[in-house]
Amino acid sequence: MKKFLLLCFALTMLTVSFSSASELKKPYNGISANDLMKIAYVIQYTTFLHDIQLNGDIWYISEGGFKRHKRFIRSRIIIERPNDDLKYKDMVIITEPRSVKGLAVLSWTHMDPKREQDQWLWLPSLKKVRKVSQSAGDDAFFGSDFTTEEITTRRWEDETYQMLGKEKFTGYSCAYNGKTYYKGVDCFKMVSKSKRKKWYYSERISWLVKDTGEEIYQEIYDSEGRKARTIFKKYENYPKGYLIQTLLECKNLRNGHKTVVTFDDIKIDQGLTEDKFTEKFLMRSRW
Amino acid sequence: MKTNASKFAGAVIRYRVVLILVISLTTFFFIYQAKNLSFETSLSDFSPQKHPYVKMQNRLTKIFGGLNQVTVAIRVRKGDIFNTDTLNKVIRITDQLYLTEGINAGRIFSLSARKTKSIRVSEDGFSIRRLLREPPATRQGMTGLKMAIQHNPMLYGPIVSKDFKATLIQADFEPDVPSKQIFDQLQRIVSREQDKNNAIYVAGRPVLEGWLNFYLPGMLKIFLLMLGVMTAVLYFVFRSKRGVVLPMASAVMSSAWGLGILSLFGYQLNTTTILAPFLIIALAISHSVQLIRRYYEVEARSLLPKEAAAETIASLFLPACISLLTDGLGFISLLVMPLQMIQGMAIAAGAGVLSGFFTTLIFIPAILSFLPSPEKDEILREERPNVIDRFLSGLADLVSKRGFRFCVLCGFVLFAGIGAYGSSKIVVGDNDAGSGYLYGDSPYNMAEKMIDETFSGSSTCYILVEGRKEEAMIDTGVLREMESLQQALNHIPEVGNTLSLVDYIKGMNFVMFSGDPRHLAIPEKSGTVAEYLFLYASGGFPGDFDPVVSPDYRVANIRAVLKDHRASTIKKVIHTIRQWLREKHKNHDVDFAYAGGEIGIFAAVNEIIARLLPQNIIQVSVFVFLCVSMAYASLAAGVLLLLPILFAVLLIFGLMGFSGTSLTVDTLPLAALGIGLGIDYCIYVSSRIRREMKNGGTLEAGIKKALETSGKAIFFTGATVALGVFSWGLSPIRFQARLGGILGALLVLNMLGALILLPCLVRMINPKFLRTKQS
Repeated sequence: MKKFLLLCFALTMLTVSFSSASELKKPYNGISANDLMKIAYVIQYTTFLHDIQLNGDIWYISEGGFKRHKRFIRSRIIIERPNDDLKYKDMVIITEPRSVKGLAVLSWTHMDPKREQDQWLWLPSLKKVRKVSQSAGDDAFFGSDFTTEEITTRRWEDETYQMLGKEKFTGYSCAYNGKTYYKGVDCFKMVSKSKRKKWYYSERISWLVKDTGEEIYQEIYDSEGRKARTIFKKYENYPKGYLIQTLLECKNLRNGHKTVVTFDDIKIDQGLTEDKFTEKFLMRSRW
Repeated sequence: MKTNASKFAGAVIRYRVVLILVISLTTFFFIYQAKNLSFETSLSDFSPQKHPYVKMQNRLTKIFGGLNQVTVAIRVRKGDIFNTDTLNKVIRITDQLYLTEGINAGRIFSLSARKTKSIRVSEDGFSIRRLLREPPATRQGMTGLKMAIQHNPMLYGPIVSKDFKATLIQADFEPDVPSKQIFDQLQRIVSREQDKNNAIYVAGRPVLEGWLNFYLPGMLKIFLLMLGVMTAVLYFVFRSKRGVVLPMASAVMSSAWGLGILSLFGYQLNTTTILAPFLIIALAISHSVQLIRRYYEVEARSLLPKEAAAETIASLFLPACISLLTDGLGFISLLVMPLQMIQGMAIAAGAGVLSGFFTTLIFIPAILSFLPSPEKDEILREERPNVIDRFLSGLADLVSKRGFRFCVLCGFVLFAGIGAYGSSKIVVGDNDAGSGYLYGDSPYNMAEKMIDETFSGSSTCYILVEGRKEEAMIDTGVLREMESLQQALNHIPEVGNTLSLVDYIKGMNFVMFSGDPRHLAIPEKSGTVAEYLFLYASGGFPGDFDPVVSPDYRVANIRAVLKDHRASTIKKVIHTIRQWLREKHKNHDVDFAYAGGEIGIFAAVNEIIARLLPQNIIQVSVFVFLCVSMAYASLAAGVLLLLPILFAVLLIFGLMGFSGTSLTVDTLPLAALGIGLGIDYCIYVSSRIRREMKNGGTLEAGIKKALETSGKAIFFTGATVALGVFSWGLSPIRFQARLGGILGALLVLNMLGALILLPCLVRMINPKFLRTKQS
């Protein structure tokens, strides 16, 4: 009986967790810039899911066309548990290049936007776990053209937003596969400015899909007001109307370098459990 | 029977209108071409591009960048750099550099650069933070920053001076960014930040190029001054309009030809090519002086202008042709020097001087033939003996005395011996700190000196480490070899520090093992190295790690920073690398190539000087010997005329050896120019003696007449050319001033050789070629 009750409790919790997570709001007529950006963040960090697992490839492409590649497996569990201040947990395991296969990073992100992530690094050759500090928001993400905050740490609270209006997106021609995306799609255009006094960008202008709210394209301007980089994100529809990023492309307009991230083998809501996101699991796992 | 010279003279006078027109139109064409020239100094023109060291440097630049590296040093006058004001300057300058067009952001290095981190190690891990985002607000914060720097060997010494009074900001611009743009941008940044307590110094290759370009237009003023002085000299010699205007016109035309051809070959005006007009003008005027003097001499016999002009051409045809040929080809022989800066000067000056055949030998007599005969007074004034005539006449008398000739011969032997001994002591390569192109007290050299003295040094030597397969740098065996070579270099007292991938890997290992000093070492497993490299590269933006290792981890480099670039230091470093390669390099998966960086380029240039300077002296001497021998149909003529010139060269090199003046790149053209230009004087003296003897005079009378007539012209031409060359001494560019001083002295010695030594030798030997009846 006790076991049954426990099971019921667990199932109830799981359902509550799912239902609360699966509330994916949509933009509406007259939506404010602030509310629109809240939706964009929910989509970006997939906080409407319980968990997600995917394979990722990062391509680093120099101006001359020289390419480097990394492949990884990423798992995320969304927790959003205020009592221990946990928002979600991430695990990234490198699978290529072969020389560093198995190197892994575990991150715990907190509800409190001011609190830094907890991160652990697993070094398979030394069989050691080291606790490491979170990268600064303006540091590079994985040696790419993206900054860390653009991929993982920027929060809604970090910026102020202003709506610039609505317009049809002219389309983005992807340098990675040559395809044009989102041509003629109705978008909101808005400008975001960092609340920090001195930051690496003065503003970024974003295009967000009018019907669903995902941020598909950004132009990032440096502190002298020159366009420095662009970021494109392609989203794909998954069951229940979920939107998941499948391709990201960042172009550094000053040095011509590009970083492309693609995701495949995306599995959502498999019922991953938190025990897969611990230091011990990091040490035990073999990839 | 008419000689070839007479036939040629006749033809010139017959077709004088056409010739004047063609020469004038050609001059306009070259002036039109020359309008494309602009001031543009590139230091790559100063390095032999085919030398293995320079080739290696070019490869290094392609893989790792670093061609346009600049260093900005901030030095506080009171206290240390740990004050808000100075740290804000570091932050502002660094930020400004990140935003500068054409910057290679991955190669910016300073206390506040995005890749300069402070690492705190704990039992279970470590935290990495940007070292300096904004100046610490508290005293404790400042102390913490100071401690963090003190404990980081990559910062303490190389980036912050040991006394904490100065710090560096290093940046690298993309290779296609013009040095002028870099120089201007840096000057703007520096002028904003310099104040009473913070002195700012800027050094680096583009900055040096910028300074050279900044000084170059100043040469125009010197050029105008030289033209003014030449005009005055011409007026002093002839005191007539034609005596001033015609040589000046001829000189300007030759210059236009030289510069036009320079432009057609795609060169620009730089520190050496800008010297070409000086040489061309001086030489053109010297040839014109010979020509107009002879014209006056001929006109004294009351000939018609056409006849006088024709006879002038005929009588000077042979010596003028030989001397134009030796001058012009003397310059052109410099094309064998594998340095673009010398080649540019060789083309411009060679073409300009050879154009003298048209602009002087043809153009001036053609114009003279149209002018009315000079007034009797004009001729008499020109012929009237002055102090120089009296000196030359006295000299001619002395030459006829056996005792004087004996003394000259003894002096010749003695000074030749001294010269040879001094030459053996000569050092190849720079002896001074800073750039040899500028004076020691120039802002650039002051900056270099400050950086050399305050930090680990500023002269870099790179060794390329190239794996034969991808990810070769992950191999611990390779890293151990790199470490071993670094240790060997660190034993040289003149080496300030060395840096390579090994230092990064050792640092990472130290951090991973909680700051245990035993682990400040290369890890045991190659897998660990791979992981460290992966983490290091993941922590920065694309390109941030590129200066250290290529993205595929196949190629890396070792950088040694030297405290000076003296020839002895360079030799020591190269010798150490060679010895290490011979004895310690065993790993066959990797190749080591040396020597890149500034030191490699210096070493290459030094090797070129040591090898090519004697070769060039021999080459030009042989060429001049053949020219003179053929012209006089006598091998003895070749030897005799070359002797005073080689004596002057030997004496100059001897003086350089005794005075500790080293042979640097600016001395490369010295011998070719000295011999090429100096032989003119001997040719004019011997031609005149021969002419006098042909007309039935004795040797003694011939010498006397030659010294009184050609001697006077030689005196003025020698003075004119030497004056033109000495005027470079006013240049703020030491390279030009040094060349001007040494070459000027050589030309004066050549002139004295032709006026004193040659007549004495001729008198003693009484060579057969002077007595030959046939021309």
